[in-house]
Parts: sequence; C-alpha cells; structure tokens
Amino acid sequence: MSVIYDLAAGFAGAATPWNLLMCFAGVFAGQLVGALPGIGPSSAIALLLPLTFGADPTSAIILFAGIYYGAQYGGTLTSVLISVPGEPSSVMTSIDGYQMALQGRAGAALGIAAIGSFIAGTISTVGLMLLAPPLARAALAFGPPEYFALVVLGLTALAAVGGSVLKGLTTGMFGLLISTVGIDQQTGVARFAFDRIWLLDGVGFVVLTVALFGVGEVLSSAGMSTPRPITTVKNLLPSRAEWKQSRMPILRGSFIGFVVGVLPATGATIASFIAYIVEKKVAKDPSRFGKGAIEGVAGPESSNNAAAAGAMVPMLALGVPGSGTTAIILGALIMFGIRPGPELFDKNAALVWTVIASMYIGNVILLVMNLPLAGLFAQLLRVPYSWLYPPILALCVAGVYSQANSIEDVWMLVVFGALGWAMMRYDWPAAPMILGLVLGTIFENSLRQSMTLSHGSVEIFFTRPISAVLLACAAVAVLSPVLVRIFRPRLVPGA
Amino acid sequence: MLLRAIGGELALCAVFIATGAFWIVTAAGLPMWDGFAPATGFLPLVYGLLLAALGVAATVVDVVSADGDAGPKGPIGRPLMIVLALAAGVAGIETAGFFVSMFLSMLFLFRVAERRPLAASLAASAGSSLFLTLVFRTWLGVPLPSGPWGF
Amino acid sequence: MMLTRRSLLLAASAVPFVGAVPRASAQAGWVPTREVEFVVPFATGGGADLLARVIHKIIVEEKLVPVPIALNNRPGGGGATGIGYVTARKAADPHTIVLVNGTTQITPILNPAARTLSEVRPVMNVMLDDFLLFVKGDAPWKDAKDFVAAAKSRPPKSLAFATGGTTDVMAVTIFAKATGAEYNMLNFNSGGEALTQLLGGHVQACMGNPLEFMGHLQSKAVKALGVFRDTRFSVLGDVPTMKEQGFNAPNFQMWRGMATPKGTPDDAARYWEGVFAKVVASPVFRAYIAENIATAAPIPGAAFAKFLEDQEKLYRNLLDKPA
Repeated sequence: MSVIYDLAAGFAGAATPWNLLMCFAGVFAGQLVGALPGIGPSSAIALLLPLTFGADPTSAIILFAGIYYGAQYGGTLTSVLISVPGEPSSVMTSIDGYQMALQGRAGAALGIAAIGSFIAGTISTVGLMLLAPPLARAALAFGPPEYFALVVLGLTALAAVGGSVLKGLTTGMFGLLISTVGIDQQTGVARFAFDRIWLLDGVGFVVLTVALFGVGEVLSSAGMSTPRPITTVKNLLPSRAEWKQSRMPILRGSFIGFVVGVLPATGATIASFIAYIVEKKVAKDPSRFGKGAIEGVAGPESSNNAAAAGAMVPMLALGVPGSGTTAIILGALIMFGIRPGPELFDKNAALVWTVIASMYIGNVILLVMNLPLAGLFAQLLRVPYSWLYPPILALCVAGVYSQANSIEDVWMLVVFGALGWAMMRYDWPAAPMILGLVLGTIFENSLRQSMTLSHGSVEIFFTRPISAVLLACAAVAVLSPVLVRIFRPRLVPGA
Repeated sequence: MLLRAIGGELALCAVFIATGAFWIVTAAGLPMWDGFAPATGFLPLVYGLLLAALGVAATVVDVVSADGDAGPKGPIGRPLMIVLALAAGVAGIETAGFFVSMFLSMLFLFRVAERRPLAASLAASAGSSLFLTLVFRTWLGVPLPSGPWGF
Repeated sequence: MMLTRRSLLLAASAVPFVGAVPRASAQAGWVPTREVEFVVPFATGGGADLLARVIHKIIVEEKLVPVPIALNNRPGGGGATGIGYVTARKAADPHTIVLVNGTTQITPILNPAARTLSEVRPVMNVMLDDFLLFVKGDAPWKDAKDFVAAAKSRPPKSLAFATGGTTDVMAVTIFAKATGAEYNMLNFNSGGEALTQLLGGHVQACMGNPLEFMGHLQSKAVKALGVFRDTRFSVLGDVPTMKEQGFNAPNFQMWRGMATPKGTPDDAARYWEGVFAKVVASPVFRAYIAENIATAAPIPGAAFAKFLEDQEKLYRNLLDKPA
C-alpha cells in the first residue's frame, strides 16, 4: 500500500505548475533532438545542465528524464518520413516505417509508434515503480559471459533481418569488421586507424546509420528514371485491423525493451533490434517484413521507449548508470548535491517518486502531442521528392557533423552513403551492417573479458546458467530454420 | 550482357573481398593471443577471413544464378551527380562555411539536377540552409563552420 | 597539512596576477579582444565536460573575461581530436583555452600518432582526483594487507580487477608493482560499468575515484582498503594510505587542468593563469570540488610543467613505454 501512498505524494509533487512546465519542456525538447540525427538526448541534457545549476533538483531531473524518453518518440518521425533515423534506436523503425510511408500509411506508422510508445512507456514506468530494487539486483548477475551470450543471441539475427541470407551475413560481417577500427578497449592501443586521429574512436554508429539509410535512400530514390508516385496520405490514424495486428508486438516490445534496458551495458538500440527480430520470428508471414509490416514499427518503437524507462532502474535503485544518458543524469544529481547510491530510493524518496509520477504525465503529454502531429507530419510526404531530398541531404550533413563536430565524419557520410546506394541497388540489406557495428564492440570486449576471467577456459560460457540458457536460445534460433528445411519435405509431401 | 547484368553485384563482392583481405593482412601483424584471452589481432583476423569467404561465396552464387535478363536497375548518372554535389558541398564547408556551402549545393540540385524554377530554387535553398543553421548553430550550439564573411 | 599546502599553492598562483598590476604598463598586459573559444576535447556529458561547463559558467557569471566565451566539444581519440583541432585551426591563438587531463597525457604514450600535451601550453592545473582500492562490502579482507596476502596465497591472477579506463589500469599496475602480486584485469567502458561488475561479484576489486563509489561506500555496499597518496585524504580520513600499510606505492592522482595553444605569448598565458586562479578560488568551484570529493589543486605555469613532466615519467614507466 505504501506504493500508492508514495505515488500519490509523487503526483502531488509532479503536478505543481512549475514541474508540469518542466515535464512539458523536457518531452518537447526531447522530441526535437530525437528527430534530429546526430544530436541526441545526452547532448541536450549537457547543454541544459548549466542552466539548471541552483534550481530545484527534482524539477531538473523531471526535465532531463523528459528529454530522455521524449527523444525516443522523436526519433521515429524522421525514420518514417524520410528514412533518416533520428536516434540509433530508430534504425529498425525506418525499415518498415518508411515502406509504410511510401504506401501512404505514414499516419498509421507514426500513430502506432506514438500509441505503442505510450503503452510501453507506461508499462515500464509501472515496472520501474514496483520492481526496481529486485530487478536492479538481478541485473547485477550479468557479468561478461552473460553479455557475451546475449550478444551471440543478437548476432543470430544477422541473417534474419534482410532478404538474402548470404547477403545479410556478408554485410553483417562487414559491420563486425569495421567495429574493430580504432582504439582497442582492452589494451588502449589503436588498430586499423591508419595513424588518423579521427579514426581512433572508430566509425561512428550515427555516421553509418545516416549514411546507409538516409543518403543511400536519397540516392536511390532520386536516381529513379520514373518519378516516384506522389504519395497520397490515406489514413491519419491506424485502422482497426492495424491496431489489432500491433497489440501483441507492443506488449512484447515493452517487455523486451524494459528487460534489455535494465541491463547496464545494453540499451534502447539493442532492445529495438531484438524486438524487431522477435516480431519477424513469430510472424505468420515473415516475408511481409521490410515491405511495410506494421509489427515492424510497433515492436521496436515500444521497445526503445520501454528501454529508456528500464535504464532508469539501475540509476534510481543502485546509483549506477544504465546507459550513456542516465550517466549524465547521475552526474547532474551529483551537481545538485544528491549522492546516487543504493539508498537513493529511501533517502530521496520524494525526488524519486515525483520523477516517476512525472514520467506517467510526460507519456500522456507525448501521446496527446503526437497523435495530431502524426497526421500533420504525414502531409509532408505530399511534397514532391525533388523538393524534399536536397534539404534531407543538408540535414544529414548537419546532423552527422553535430555528433562530434568533425568534418571527417561528414566525409565518411559521403563514402558510406555511396556504398549504401550501391547496396540498395543490388538488394544487399543495410540493417545487418548496423547490427554488426553495434554488437561488434561488446561482442569482442565480453569475449576477451570472459576468457581473462576464466583463465582461458571457454567452459565459463556453459557453466554459468544465464549464459548457458541464452546460448541455447541462440542455437535454437540458428538451427530451427535448418531443421524446418530438413523435415518439411516429409511433413508436406510434394512440397 | 551477363557482365552488364551482374557487373555491379560483382563490384560490391569485390569491395567486400578486398576489405576482408586487407583486414587479414593487417591483423596478421598484430598480436593474436595475450595471456588467457585473444589479443588485438584475433577477432579482426577471424572477421577478415569470414568476410572474404562470404564475399567469394556471394560471387559464386551471383555467377551461377545469373540470368542475364534481370530487370533494369535505373540510371547511374543522376545518383552520381547528386553524390558529387554532396561531396562538393562538404568540401566547401570548411572554407565557405556551412550556410553558403549547403545553399550552393542545394541550389545546384534544385536548379540543375531537378530543373526547378530559379526563384523557387533560390528560396528553397536559402530557406532550408537558414533553418538548419538556426536550429543547429543558434539553438543547439553546434559549432558549424562559418565562412570568411562571418556566417 | 593538506590545507596549508593547498592555500600555499593558491597564494603562489595568485601572486603573478596581483603582481601583474603595477607591471602591466611595462609589459602591455594582454587582454582578450574578441570571442574566446573554450575547446573541450571530450564528449558532452562526461566528467571532463561537466568540469568544463562549471569553469565556463564561473568565468561567464563572475565576468572574469571582458569578451564572450563559447564552449566547443571536439571529442575523440582520448583528447587527440580536440587538440588536433586546436593545432590546425587555433595555432598560437591566445583567444583559445583547452581543458586537459591525465587521459590526454596517456593517449600519445600508447598511440604515438596522437599528439596531445606536446601541442599545447599548459597554464594551470585546477584539481586532483584520488584513487582508492575498493572491494565489496562483505568481502573477507579488512585492509590492503589482507587483500595482498590473499592474492599471494592463491595461484597468480586469481583476484580480478574491473577497470574503467587507462588511468584505472595504471593504478592496478602501481599496486601490482608495489605489492609484488599478480592480478587479473578486465577493462570496461567506464568506471560505472566497472562498479557494476564489482557489485555483481564478477570481479573482486576495483580501482576508482571516490565520486563514483561514494554512495556505495556510505551504504557499505563497498569498502575502501587504501588510497594512493602520501598523506590521508581528509574527506575519507579512515582510509589508510598504501604507504601506511607497508606498500611503497607512489602518490597517484588524476589531474585536470587548463592550457592554451602552443606558442601562446607569455603575457597571454599569465592573463589566463590569473583567470583560472580566480576560478579555483570561487565558491562555485569549491562547491563543485566538495560534491565531487576531489581536491582543488591550482598548480600554475612552470610548476605545472614540472608536475606534468613527472607524471609523464611515471606513466611511461608504468606502461613500459620509455620515451
């Protein structure tokens, strides 16, 4: 019962006009930076941080949390409308979301993303409220071998994301390979950097994403000899049938996102990948994916929002960062003289509960704001593409530059953009390459950390229960299509 | 005709094989094992080998299954022109500044590549450039380079 | 003890500034005349960036310079990217200031292509951060001696450290050299991740700065077995030094300071020295230091250069990379 009492007190704290304003300002700013490629919630929080020195810490944390989950909504917008993922966690959304937009269903895609994000945000805030301390302790059970096994499970998706298995594996391997560029975290020494300072940190994830999806799409669409059919925007909101199709993906996405978000070394991006793959695996007709399947939008979009709330779990319950952005929020707490630690929930109960209450409110604001906007923004597609793509290119340039204020990154954008066009032209899937780049670093680090821990024995992956279960799941994921292929002729004679 | 149909595919395969080969050669010069665990060069070597092998396999599949009458893939000229305009715009950022450089590159695309009316092209390029500069530089504090004339 | 040393340093740093007033006409004291760029060679939101933003805020709000001052984050390559930017675009320009720290110094030792401190003129160190040996709160070891004895009684490398960056690695190396035992080392992205691994019991110990561990120290989830310092750290007075426990470990602290581009004229460097001395003396900075459980340590000009030289020797020695 104390939960209800605490939450009521939290709502009382969050519903003051000033805190409501902060909540609105946060989700609004988050939505904006989320939609812009390159600039993410962490930069926005860092920008606003000095302005909040001396202010009330609760209001400031409400603002920052709003930016964080608001950004997950905003990332959808540009993914669906112009195939430029505003946030890394929106990459999967742009695959089916953009196809839906081309079919005149942009309103439905944005609408379901907003509804899914709202449901996921609310479910995971409930999870945060009720389960934070035990969940955070459970997340501590993840050491290097467990992360390794989780990443292996993620890598089984390389072949599943795109069309051709062989091509998916090849581009995925290319992504893994470029993840080795730059300073090796285990030794601090650079490799494959060709003595270039700007390669010491490797190939940026945002750079590759915006290049392959954004620039690649511009080059292939603008290059078509026949003009793109001018899209008619049919429905501004998802139809009853689409809503029915999306219900389960939203619930599954919420669950996956929350759990993956709680783990400190993984975040919204990996959560959205896993949600997409799960949807594709459970779908009756997986071939619809990549051609505008609404489940491919509903799952990942719910999942990245749930992950943002999940990442608050270790932050609030243990005082350890659950993601890059929560690390900055933790830094902000320290600036306000609040020492993050396992006792935050008890010692600063008023702050924690007010922030939790503000997350419910913020999600409602986002839904109210996004549903009408979905229809409005979908109208953008009525503009002929020849007017649209030059500014899209300029946006890609500005976004990629802003990520690290680096002109070399923009050159990489041009080169990888051309590669993305060539890949699209010959049906080589781009998503596995992104997946390889994201998972490559954590794959290599966790492998080497685990082997160091076990003094060189690979048994560590099979004797630790969580790791063993995850690896078994990976084995099933790889073997099931093979087994199906072997046994199908017997089950279906003549097939 | 066959080469024409699958030439682009083969070029992509060649890029992947060459990258794999380069990684193999470079990784071979790095330490492979350190104490208990793989060292800096181990996984790059594995990735290089796998990428090269996958590239070869994709080449074989392409050649074997090529049917010579695959559908038209669209022209190469226009994407090339756009990518060059983009590259020229990027090359100009450090000297002419983001605003001017992107303005010119968009103007070229609107006017030359898309043959839009001059007045509308001017307005659209200037408007988009101004909007992006406003959002990124003024509001978000991103130090987008400016030209010798201060913007 | 510490306080007197600190105030001495503060006084010493203030002297050139105060002294500059009568000499100003003779030397035509430099003052900035156009916008100053404050280059932060680290990503927005990290610890180094937060420090930069505090310094920026103090300079702006207390009107320490007569011109606007703009922050510019140029992250990458352990500081090399930002300093490369300064070299290329701001050579010898006194209207540029740069934040530097121990990481910037380590990067070129490991990656000779990256050039950092050799390309700037260090002006003043502002703070020092301590390193402590942490283990889980319920670990069987009372102090560092127990811990070392346990390490020696088992096969080599049985006890594992989680480290969150090169500076942590060096702290472990110092500890291993001083105690004559071998430890296993797992590297993670950040101190926060390393702490999570310690709390989860996947490793036995961490070397960390007080900041990240303080909340857990207070709730007894972790305990501190020793500090790499010549004298005890007043804020954590019950943590013994390594020397007290019989281990000959040198004083090891992470430094953070300010620099200007290489070739900055002397009078401009002196001007900035004066500005930073005022920054360190301001109440906002003192509050920041207290919240971060660090030590304010203004080391000006020549003394800073000497300090950096000694640090460089120590780092090269630890990493086995002689100059």
